[in-house]
Amino acid sequence: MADWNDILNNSEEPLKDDELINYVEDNLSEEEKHDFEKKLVDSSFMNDAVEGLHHFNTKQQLNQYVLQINKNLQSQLDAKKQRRKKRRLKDNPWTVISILILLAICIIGYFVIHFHLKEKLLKTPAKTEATLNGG
Amino acid sequence: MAKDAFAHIEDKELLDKYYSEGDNQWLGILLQRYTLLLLGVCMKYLKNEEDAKDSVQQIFLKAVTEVQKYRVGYFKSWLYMIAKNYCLMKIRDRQGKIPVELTDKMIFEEQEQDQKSKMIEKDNTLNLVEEGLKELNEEQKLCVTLFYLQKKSYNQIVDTTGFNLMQVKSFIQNGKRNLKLIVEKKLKKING
Repeated sequence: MADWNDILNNSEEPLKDDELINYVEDNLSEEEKHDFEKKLVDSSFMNDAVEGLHHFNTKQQLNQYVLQINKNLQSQLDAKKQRRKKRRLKDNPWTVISILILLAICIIGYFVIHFHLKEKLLKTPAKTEATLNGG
Repeated sequence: MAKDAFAHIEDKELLDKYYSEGDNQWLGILLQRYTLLLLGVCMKYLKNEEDAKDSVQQIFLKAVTEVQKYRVGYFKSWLYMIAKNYCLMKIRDRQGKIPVELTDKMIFEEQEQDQKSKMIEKDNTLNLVEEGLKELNEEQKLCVTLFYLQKKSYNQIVDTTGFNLMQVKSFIQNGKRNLKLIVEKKLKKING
């Protein structure tokens, strides 16, 4: 019964890269090959891919190729993310201006407080001396 | 690495995350699932390793740009369409010929096929399959039987029947498709 069911079912199980490479390198048993091929029957995508992978001269390097392509994709996506961040700032100049104003207020505030305290400290000993002489 | 960590998340879920959060990371994980398959597809059409590697990167770029323009439903088929069209355009540039482009209609047909088979599964029609198998032509009947019932691999069927690999694949694929059509017809008859 289950065998008949196989004919009606469309395999939706995803292919694993290792499984695919092992198949192309002819490293699977006949039983494993059959299980793998069942997934191929309904997918033009997978069928085309398997056919193409057979054409590679050095199948051992397929993993390396994949890693390299994925690395490039990652760096392109990261660069895109950075560009988007920069553009976001560019698109909102008021955010930048507000931050700058806030920073300026903080710096001015620091100096005002700093000078005020310094002045207070300078005045305090003179006052003490005057109080002593007066006493 | 990232691929393994997110292996339990389905394509659709990753795509939804990308659309809702707008984070390219999700799209990256999704695309990387198909690198090897795309490499194979590009190699099939372009027949050149360097061209195939470059093309996969170009297809990724195209996919990243296109996926933002509209909501993609069935990512795998959509990506295959992008890849195939890219390769056909590249061949056209090489040869100066106009290839037939894959369209959304073809994707829809593939999805429709999936849905039809699900519909068939639901019904108790397995005995109809047995009957339907007898109506296939001899080659298809033989290959479908050897593949699905005797669980032979393509190569074993090649050895047993004397057909070449392409013929075996074709007999199995067409046989399966025809069998489904026969079962559908029989079901319609039964249901009036």
